[in-house]
Amino acid sequence: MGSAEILAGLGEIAADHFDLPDLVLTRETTAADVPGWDSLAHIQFLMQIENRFRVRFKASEVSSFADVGQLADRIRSRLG
Amino acid sequence: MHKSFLERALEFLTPTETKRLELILVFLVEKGHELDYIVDCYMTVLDDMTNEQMYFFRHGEYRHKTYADVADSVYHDKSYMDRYMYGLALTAFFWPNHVEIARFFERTLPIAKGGRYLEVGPGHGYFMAIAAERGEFDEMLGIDISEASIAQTRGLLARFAPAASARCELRVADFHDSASLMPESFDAVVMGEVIEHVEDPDTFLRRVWELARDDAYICVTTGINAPAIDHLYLWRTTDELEEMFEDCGFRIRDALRLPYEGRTLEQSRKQNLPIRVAYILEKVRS
Repeated sequence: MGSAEILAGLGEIAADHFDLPDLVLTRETTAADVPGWDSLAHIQFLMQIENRFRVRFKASEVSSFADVGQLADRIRSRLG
Repeated sequence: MHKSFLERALEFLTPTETKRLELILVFLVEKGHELDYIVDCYMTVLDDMTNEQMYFFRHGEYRHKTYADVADSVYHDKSYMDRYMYGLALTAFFWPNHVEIARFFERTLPIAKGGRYLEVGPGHGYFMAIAAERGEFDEMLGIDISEASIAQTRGLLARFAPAASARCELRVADFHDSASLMPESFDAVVMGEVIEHVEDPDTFLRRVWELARDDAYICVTTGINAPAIDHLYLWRTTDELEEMFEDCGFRIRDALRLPYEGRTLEQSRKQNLPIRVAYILEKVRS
């Protein structure tokens, strides 16, 4: 799966999860850019990503993503 | 993300709360702890909460179910328990819902009541320190299963209310084995964030009923859908918990039900997010 496809998938999950239908995620998007993206919403978001992409995050990874680009890269590396 | 959360949280504190936070930090520094260690204590709580919250979202239940699951790894591991209790004490100031619960406790505490005060599981000691600082109880007893908790409570009492230490007794003991306490002998009974840590909270509540005088101040706080490394008993709704109070012979006199920050109670319930609750109970005689 390519980076663009992963980013598009993250955008769909985020739009639904944060209830922001017009939300567009870019590689540079951070939690501070999205209303409602607090620490618990972040964990829920990661859980939805796990289900969608069939990947698994460790607790130590939860706060390790500075932006959506890093998150997408981690997913891509997990998918091999 | 957490930096801005903490900045907002600290703005929310009253001058008295800020002073108390400073007292706790001074207590830790005077014990010889470096700032890095204090930060590590808080991060221990955050990391464990994250870990347990992930488990809860994945499995829909708490990871641990029995006291034996956590006794050695949590309560009797002094190094871990110290970090856990120091970190939790900081959440009493850093996490707005914890601040609100402590304010509810202080607001409802009958400071002029006098008589005998019992706190089951004082933990980090903050509630008992407030009661000693503000209240005029003649005798105060704290019982906790963890030596680390008792040591921390003793330290906070010494800083918050040094003059009260002569009327405070602290015991390392299991509240299940509290047969030596006389029935109907306490004018105040407090259990802050305790009943979710036991397998049989109804047993604890019934024992509180026995120990409290009819007009006692009884304060119980806990969490709904609130995973933590040593939370064993899961209430999925406030109704479940409040029915347990009723079954154990209590009526709710006052209640505080706090949704997860930024959500309503209904949203918190639907999404299985933590709801913090505090109750003032009164005994009902059937």
